[in-house]
Amino acid sequence: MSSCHQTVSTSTGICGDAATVTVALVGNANVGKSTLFNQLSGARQQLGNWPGTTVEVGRAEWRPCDVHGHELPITMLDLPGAASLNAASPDEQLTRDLLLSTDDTTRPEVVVAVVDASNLARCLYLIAQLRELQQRLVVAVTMLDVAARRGISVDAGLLERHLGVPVVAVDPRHRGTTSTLAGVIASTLTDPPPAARPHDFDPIDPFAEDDERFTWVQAAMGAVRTRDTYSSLTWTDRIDRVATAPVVGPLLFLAIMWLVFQITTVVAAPLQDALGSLVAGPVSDASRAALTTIGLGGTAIEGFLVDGLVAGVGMLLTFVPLMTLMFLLLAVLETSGYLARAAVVTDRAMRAIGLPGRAFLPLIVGFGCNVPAISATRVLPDARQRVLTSLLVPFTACSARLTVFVLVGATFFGSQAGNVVFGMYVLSIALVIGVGFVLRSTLWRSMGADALVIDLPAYHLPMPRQVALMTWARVQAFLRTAGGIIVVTVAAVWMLSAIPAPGSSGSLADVPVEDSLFAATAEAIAPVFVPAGFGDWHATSALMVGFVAKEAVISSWAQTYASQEPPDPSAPGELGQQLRADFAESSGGHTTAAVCAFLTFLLAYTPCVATLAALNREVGRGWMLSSIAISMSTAWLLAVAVFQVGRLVS
Amino acid sequence: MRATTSPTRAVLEQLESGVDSLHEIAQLTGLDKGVVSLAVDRLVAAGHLHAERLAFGCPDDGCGTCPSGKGGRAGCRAARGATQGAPVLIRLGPVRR
Repeated sequence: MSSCHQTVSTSTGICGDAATVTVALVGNANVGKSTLFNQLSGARQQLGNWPGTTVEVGRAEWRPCDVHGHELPITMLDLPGAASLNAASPDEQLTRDLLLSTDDTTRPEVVVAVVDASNLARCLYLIAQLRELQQRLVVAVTMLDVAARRGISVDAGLLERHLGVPVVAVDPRHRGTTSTLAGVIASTLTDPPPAARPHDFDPIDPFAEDDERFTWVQAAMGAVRTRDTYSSLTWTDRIDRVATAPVVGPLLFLAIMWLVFQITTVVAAPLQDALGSLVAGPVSDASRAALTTIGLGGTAIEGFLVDGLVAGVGMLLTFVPLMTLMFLLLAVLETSGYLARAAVVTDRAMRAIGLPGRAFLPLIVGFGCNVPAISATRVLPDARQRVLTSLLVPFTACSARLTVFVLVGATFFGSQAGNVVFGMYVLSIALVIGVGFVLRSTLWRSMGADALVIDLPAYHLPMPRQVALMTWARVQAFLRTAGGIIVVTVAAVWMLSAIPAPGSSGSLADVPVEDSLFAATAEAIAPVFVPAGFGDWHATSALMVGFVAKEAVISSWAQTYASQEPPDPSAPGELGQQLRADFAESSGGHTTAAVCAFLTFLLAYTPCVATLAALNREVGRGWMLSSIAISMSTAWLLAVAVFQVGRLVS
Repeated sequence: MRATTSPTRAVLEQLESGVDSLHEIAQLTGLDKGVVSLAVDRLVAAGHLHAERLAFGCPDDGCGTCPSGKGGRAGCRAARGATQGAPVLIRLGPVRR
C-alpha cells in the first residue's frame, strides 16, 4: 500500500492539469460503497441514468492532491451494486458491460472494489471474476469493526498477497482513510495493469467455472480470515440455539403466542367495553332519535338501521382495538425475524408426522385468512400435496374467527379469555396435524416430501414505521372485508327476520324475530346440535351466518338479540347476559362444556363461502365437497365429544 | 464429510441428502458458510435449485381471490412488506448434468 506522496504519470495522463481518469466503484449491495462514494465526492456528485439505459449511476469529480500539490483529476463512478459479473439484473448488466468493455474510452482506468470484511466470501466471488480481467484493481475493505465484533479478523496484508492487487482498509464514515485510498489509486496508475488471474476449467463440466472461483475464494478465506469461535457467534446464532431447538423451540413458540393473546385480550378489553357501551348507548339512542324526528320511529326501517346496521357494524368496531393490537404484535414478531423461526419449528413438527414440509407456508398464511392460503398451495409441486394441504387449510384459525373466540371467551371466561383464545389456536394446530395425519395415513400413503433448506435472516429491532404500515394495512383490510360482509349479511338476516315463518301469526315486517323464517330455519337445524349442548336457534343461526363468513357471526348475534329485546343502555354487556342464559338453557346447566363445544365447532367447520370458492378453483368441485364433509363431520364429532366429556367432568 | 474437488457438487449432494441449513452444509462439507451461500445462489441462478421467499402474510402478488383485493392484486396492501425479514425457502429443482 502507498500513500499520496508521489507524482502520478500514466498513459492516460492524469498528472497536474492533464485529462481526468475514470475510477469506478463496484461491489455487492450494502457493503458501504455508496457511503464511500459520498465521502470521496462530497457535495459534487450528480445522479442520472447511464446513457441508453434506465440504470442510475452516481458520477462525481474527485480532486485528491499528489505530493507536489497537484490535483489528481478523477471522475468517480458509483456503479450499481453487483454480486457478480453474471448479470442477473439490468443494474448488474451495466456493471458487467462497462467492466468487460473492449472500448478503452468506456472502460474505467481503475476499478475500486469495495468488500465487506464481515461478509467476505460473498464479496470475493466478484473479486475472483474481476481478477480474471487485465484491469487495474484496488480492493477497499470496509466494516472491519463489524467483523471484529463478530470475532472475525481479516489480515489486509495477506489478502493483498492472495489477491495480487492493492488492498486498503477503509472506514467510509471517516475522511482520514480516503486519502490513503487516493494514494493507492495514484500509485496503481503508475504501473501497467496486473496480469489476469489464471482461470482454467473444463468447459464440458457445467459447474467447473464456478468451482474454480469457489476454490479460489475458499483458499483466500482460509488464508486471510481468522475467527474467534465464541465471539464469532452472533446474537442471532445465540438466540437461534434456543429458538430453533427441537424441543425448546416449539415450547418457546407456544409461550410467545400465549403472551400475544394475553396482551391482546387484557389490554384491549377496557377499550372494547367502552366502545361497546358507546355503540349500544349514545350511538343507538341518537340514531333512534334521528329516525323518530323524520317520522321513522318504531318502523321496520328503524329496526334494520339501528338493530341491524348500527348494532352489527358497531359490534365490529369494538374489535378494532383488539385486532390492531394483535396485528401490531404479529408485525413486531415478523419484522424482528422471529416468525421465520416459527416457520422452522412448524416445518419440523410437520415433517415429524410425515406431512410435506413445505405445506407449512400456506398453513401459516391460513392463520391470517384461509382464502389466500388456498391459493398459496400452488407453491407445492405435487398435486396430491396441494389437495391434502387445501383440505387442512380450513382448520387454521383465521383472524375472522378470532373475533368470536374473544367475545365468547370474555363472556364466559372473563379474565381467562386470553387463555381460551390461545387454547383455540393450539387446538387449531392440533387439528391440522391430527387430520393431516389421518388423511396421510389413509388417502396419501405414498406421498413423498421435498428436501428443504431455510436460510434464516438475522434478528433485528423492528422499525416502527414498517410495523405501523403493516398493522394499518391489515386493520384496513379486516375492516374493509368484514364491513362489506356484515352489511350484506345484516340485510339478509333482517329480510329473513321480517318474513313470518309458515304457520306463525305475524305479517311481513311485523313479526317477532323468534317467529320469523330466519329463526324457523335455525330451529329446524338446531336439533343436530343438541348432543353438543348448543341446540338453540340463536347459536345455530350464528353458525348458519358463519358458514357464509365468520366476520358476521358476532353482528348476527347482536342483530337478533337486539331485535328480540332492544338493549338497555344502562346494562352494558347485555348481549353477554343473553348468550349466557341461552347456553345455560340449551346445555341443561353445563354451560362451560357447551361453550367449549361451540368454540370447537366454530373452529373446525367450513370457514366461509369464499374459501369454498377458492377450493373449487384450486382443487375442483369434488375435493371442495369433500372438504365440507370432512370439516363438518370433524367439527360435529369433536363438539359432541367435548360437550359429552365436559358434561361428565363437570 | 470434507470438501470434494467440486464445491458446487458437494453442496448439491448435501441438499439432496436432506440437510436443511446452510450452517450444517458448511460444517459437513468443510466449506466456508459464505462459499456455501454463494454456491446455493449460483445453483439457483443456473436453475438447479428453485428459491422462493416465505412470508407470513398474503402472497407477494396477491391471491386474486381475496375479498378485499382488486384485479388479482392483494387488497390488504400487505403484499410488499409481507416478505421483508422472511426466511428464504429453497426447493430442489431438476438438476441438469
